[in-house]
Amino acid sequence: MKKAFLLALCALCLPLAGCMRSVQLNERAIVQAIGIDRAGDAYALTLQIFDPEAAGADDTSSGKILRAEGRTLAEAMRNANLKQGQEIFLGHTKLILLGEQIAVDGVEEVVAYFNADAQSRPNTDMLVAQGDAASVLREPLDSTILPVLSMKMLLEGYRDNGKLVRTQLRGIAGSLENPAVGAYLPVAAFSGDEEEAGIQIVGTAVLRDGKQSGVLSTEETRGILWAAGEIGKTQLTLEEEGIGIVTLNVVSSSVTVTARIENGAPFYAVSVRVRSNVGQEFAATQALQPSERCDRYEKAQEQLIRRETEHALEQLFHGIFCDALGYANILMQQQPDYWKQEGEAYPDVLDQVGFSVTVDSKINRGTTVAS
Amino acid sequence: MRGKSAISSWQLAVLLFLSRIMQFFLAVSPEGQPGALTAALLLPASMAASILLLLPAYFLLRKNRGKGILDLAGERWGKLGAICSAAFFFFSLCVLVQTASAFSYFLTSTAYPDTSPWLFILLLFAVGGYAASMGYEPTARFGAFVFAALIAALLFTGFSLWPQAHWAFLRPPAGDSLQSQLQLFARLTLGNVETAALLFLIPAVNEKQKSVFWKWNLLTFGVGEGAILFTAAVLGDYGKSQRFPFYTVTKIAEVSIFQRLDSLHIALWVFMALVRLAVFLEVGGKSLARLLPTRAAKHAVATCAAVAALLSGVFTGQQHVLERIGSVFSSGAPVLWLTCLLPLFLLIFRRKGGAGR
Amino acid sequence: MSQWFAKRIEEKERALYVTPKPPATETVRLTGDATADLATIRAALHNTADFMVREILVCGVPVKLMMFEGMFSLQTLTEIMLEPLGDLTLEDPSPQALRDWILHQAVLGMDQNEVETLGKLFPFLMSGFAGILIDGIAGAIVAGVQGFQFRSVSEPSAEENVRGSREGFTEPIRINMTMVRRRVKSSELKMELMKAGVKSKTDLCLIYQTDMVAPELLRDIRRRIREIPTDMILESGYIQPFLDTDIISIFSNVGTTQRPDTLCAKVSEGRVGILVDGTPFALIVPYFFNENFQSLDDYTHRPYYAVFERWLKYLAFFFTILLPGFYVAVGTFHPELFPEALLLNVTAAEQDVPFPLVIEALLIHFIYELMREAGLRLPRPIGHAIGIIGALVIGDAAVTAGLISSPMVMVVALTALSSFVVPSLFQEATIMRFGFILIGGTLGIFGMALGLALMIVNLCSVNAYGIPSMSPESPFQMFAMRDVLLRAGWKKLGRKKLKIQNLPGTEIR
Repeated sequence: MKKAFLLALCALCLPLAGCMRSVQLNERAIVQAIGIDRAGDAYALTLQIFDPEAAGADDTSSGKILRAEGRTLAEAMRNANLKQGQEIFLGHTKLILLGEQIAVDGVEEVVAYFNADAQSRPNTDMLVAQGDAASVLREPLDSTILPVLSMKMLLEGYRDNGKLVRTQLRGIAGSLENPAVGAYLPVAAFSGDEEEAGIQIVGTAVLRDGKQSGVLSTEETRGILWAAGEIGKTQLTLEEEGIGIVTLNVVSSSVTVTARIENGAPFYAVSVRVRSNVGQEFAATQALQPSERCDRYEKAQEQLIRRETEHALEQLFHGIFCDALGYANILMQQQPDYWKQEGEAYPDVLDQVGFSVTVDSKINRGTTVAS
Repeated sequence: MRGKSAISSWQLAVLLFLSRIMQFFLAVSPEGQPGALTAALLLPASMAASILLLLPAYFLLRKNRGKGILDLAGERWGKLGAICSAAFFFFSLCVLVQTASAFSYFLTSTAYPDTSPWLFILLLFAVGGYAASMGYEPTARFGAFVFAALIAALLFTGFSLWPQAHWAFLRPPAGDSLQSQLQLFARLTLGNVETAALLFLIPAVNEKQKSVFWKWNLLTFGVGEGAILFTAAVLGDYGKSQRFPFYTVTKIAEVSIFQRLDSLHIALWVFMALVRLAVFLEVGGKSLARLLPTRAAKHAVATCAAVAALLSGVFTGQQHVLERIGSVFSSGAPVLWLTCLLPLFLLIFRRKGGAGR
Repeated sequence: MSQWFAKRIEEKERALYVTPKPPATETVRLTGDATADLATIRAALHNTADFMVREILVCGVPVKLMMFEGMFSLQTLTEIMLEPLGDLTLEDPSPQALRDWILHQAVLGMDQNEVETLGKLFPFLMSGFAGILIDGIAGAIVAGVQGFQFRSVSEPSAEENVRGSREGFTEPIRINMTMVRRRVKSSELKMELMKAGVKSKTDLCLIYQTDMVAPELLRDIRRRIREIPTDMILESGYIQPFLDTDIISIFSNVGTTQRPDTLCAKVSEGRVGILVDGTPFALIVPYFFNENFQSLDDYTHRPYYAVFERWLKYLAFFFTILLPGFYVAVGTFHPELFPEALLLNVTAAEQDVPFPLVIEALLIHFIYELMREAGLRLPRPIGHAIGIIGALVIGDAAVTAGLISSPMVMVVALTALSSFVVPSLFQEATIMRFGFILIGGTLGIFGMALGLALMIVNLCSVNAYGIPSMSPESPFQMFAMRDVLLRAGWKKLGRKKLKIQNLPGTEIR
């Protein structure tokens, strides 16, 4: 019987071998970044594709641009496929750049497409373009060897400086599943003149029900990051009377949010914990003892962060009416009874939502300059 | 008692554990399912309930050491015992069809979108049948390696995704309706087809038979809880849009340049699916062997594999048949009958003048 | 249906082959009439050219000395047989008295025996004994005066070690036996001589420790050896399949070694070593899978380094069977598994290659195997030339010509390198590698997983003489891990000794 099994296995392998469709590496178009725009009723795709022919040569970019249109994204992808014969491969896509129009009209369809595609990664970064996605995506092509990598490095730089909220495909997809929460996306723009042309992050778009319903500036973005606990490193510049100008390097930050019900409406107590080092300080404070200086910096830091966070929360809850930070999840967890009764209406009562911000601010390493 | 193809209690526990975890992994989360925290709380409760379920079997087997449930049925009920064998055979056939079609559905919807499910089903049954035809021992030993690989994979996933877990996504059970909680409880207890496999395979264990249950449930509890809660915390609402949330987690996990290791996890899942198929092929084959004449009995496992492969292949495209099978299982009747009522009747009713001891 | 086929095949075989049978003269007894006996012997030997007879008179009794040319040492023969016989004066010279004197008083050889039949006589003569026919005695006396030419003891070529003895087994079985005995001066170490081979009558020697070995194991091995139907046994590989498990598996659970020290170590754990005359490769039964990854050096190096080495070997084994298949599977079906920068590099390299990845992999591995095989049996100077061809043709020209991509060359180099790390699994690994390339190229990771599962199940189903061949990994035993995953220091390792029949899952028959 064992022999029979082995024989059956061997016999099965031969005819079945052809059943699986194999695609050779040189038949694949490795997409590194995707730009999606509206063109009338249709989608216009801009695919930044790895160009192996150019990869070896010096001084040229290894990317090429492929454009295709279609009424649905799937159709557009197929058209892109037909245009050059290679199979579109989304497994290593690093970036999905949405045109402004798409964000305004709703991202649901785009997200659904990538969600259903087995190859694409759930943690692909998503951005919204200011204006056309195509123009933003096309530009840096001429400058570097691996355009998408340079773009990614740029984004990481922004993130490290507290100017960019990182949003991945799965975050957006998750927010679409829950009507109570919204999402945010960084906004990228192409700017600059001939010499110093490049991509810049100009703010944060807030999505409500998958549609862009407001844009926050880069300053407000940092407030969102404080409130979301996603600041890794950043630099704070304090400029106040009695302190002068001081740069603080934030080394760690975290946030704890508790939800309670006050006056029949949800109330969030946001407490941010920040640790930083003193970077650079100017003479104005030299007169004080180092410990006193630290105390002042801590206080100033606390005020700054609270101001930024409060402003961002104010903008989100009472300006755009969107719980983009997903605080609703905390409400659900901590106030299940409230949620059971009022949960349905949560998106409509966002203007009544209250919040308080407390900041636990500490300077880890003080100044090195002795007075 | 050291007969041929005797395995240790840990080996059987690991086999059942892998089989059970595979069921968790392959479960397609339906709409309106209770939250992860509820499931996590119900899991130990369902384990306690299955102790009750297995009590008659425990007393029955304790009195008749070294004998299987079908031995006893044949001994006490004569011809009627054949019906029990047939019941076990059809039961395992259904589990096999369900597992194989669910797994081929998983493969076609994740890694191999344009491949015929027949390919997966035939190959899985060929290899699974090979393992089952070699006896308990090779399957059990193979299981140990799969177990080690599974633990390694879980550790990797856990460590790499720990910073991304948001525990706010765990909703308290109060949010779920009582009805849905009860349904889930019933599904966890009576939909646990491994209980029947445990009852069937326990005579093959050569030592500490009672401990198999504890070891098995301990493993399932440890890994199951961890996997359910962690998946919910990592994926959050995104999990709702995913057909196989556990798989999606492996897709996200990354450490340095090791990204998108989901194809490797698929390899692990293939191993686990094979273990599950082999276990139930063993059950099905052994039951079938009692129904066949002696000369044909040695081909029972092969026959069982062939029939199951054929049925799975035919039914894979037919969602309503699979749903029907699924609803029979989730009704709990098969497990209840095979693991609780059958031993109970065996304890109570004996044929007049039957050997009975 | 299958029976009908079997019958047809048997008929075809009968026309071509003969089943080995012992010669009919085997049981002929010696009569006591020396001249007649000699004639019978000559006839039975078909007047072979290397059979020598010298007739002498000892104390007036005609005696015939029989020898095979070149098998005896003339010096020994003269010193311990011819001189005493020549000087002998018996009080009562009769054939019976001469026989008694030779058998009970004289030392005419290292080893002395009396035989009655031709079947018993010939193997002695043919292994360098001198046979003495005394006229009037129904039987022959054989005395060991061996002195044939053989290769001297030298370093084991296939199993070199950094530390440890430089002695390897050589061809004559007696010398090999002494090499083992010299290392274990214990009354428990027993050597048991057997013969196998219908025609060749090759000497085998079972070596075991009576206090460690399982009697069932020993009985089973003896039975298997007795039932070997082969007529010629020219190497230990001839009897290996008869000692192997009954389950079809590409892994063997009979190990080979060229080192007496390794043999002693294995024997001390309850295994049985089998020396075969005429080959420096001794067999070890049963042999478990993890033993392929152990070497004598593991036990002489410092423990931490030995652990590192061992893990390296485990890794190398998986590399050598899986790497090319995995590369092909990933490249063809799951490119997302490559880290991004690597994928881009590989894609760029694959751009101009005219073959699909799987064909490319098969091709280059085929070329590699060709070169390896060519280099193996050629005279050494030509072997070097093969190396140059390999380096130039595959390493450089094929890549420049665009036939093969350079990452693939890397893969084959890495694979080949890894395959030398575990030499005892070389054959298995080579075949499986090709299998995995095919599966990987047609079924992707899914197929690889199935193939691997098949391999592991097969390995796990092998019970060598009732002891699981995958033991102690599975069925798992924590205590034994100190010499599998780790290598504990001798202070620990030496305190307790592993007895293989006590491993979990063992069902000794």
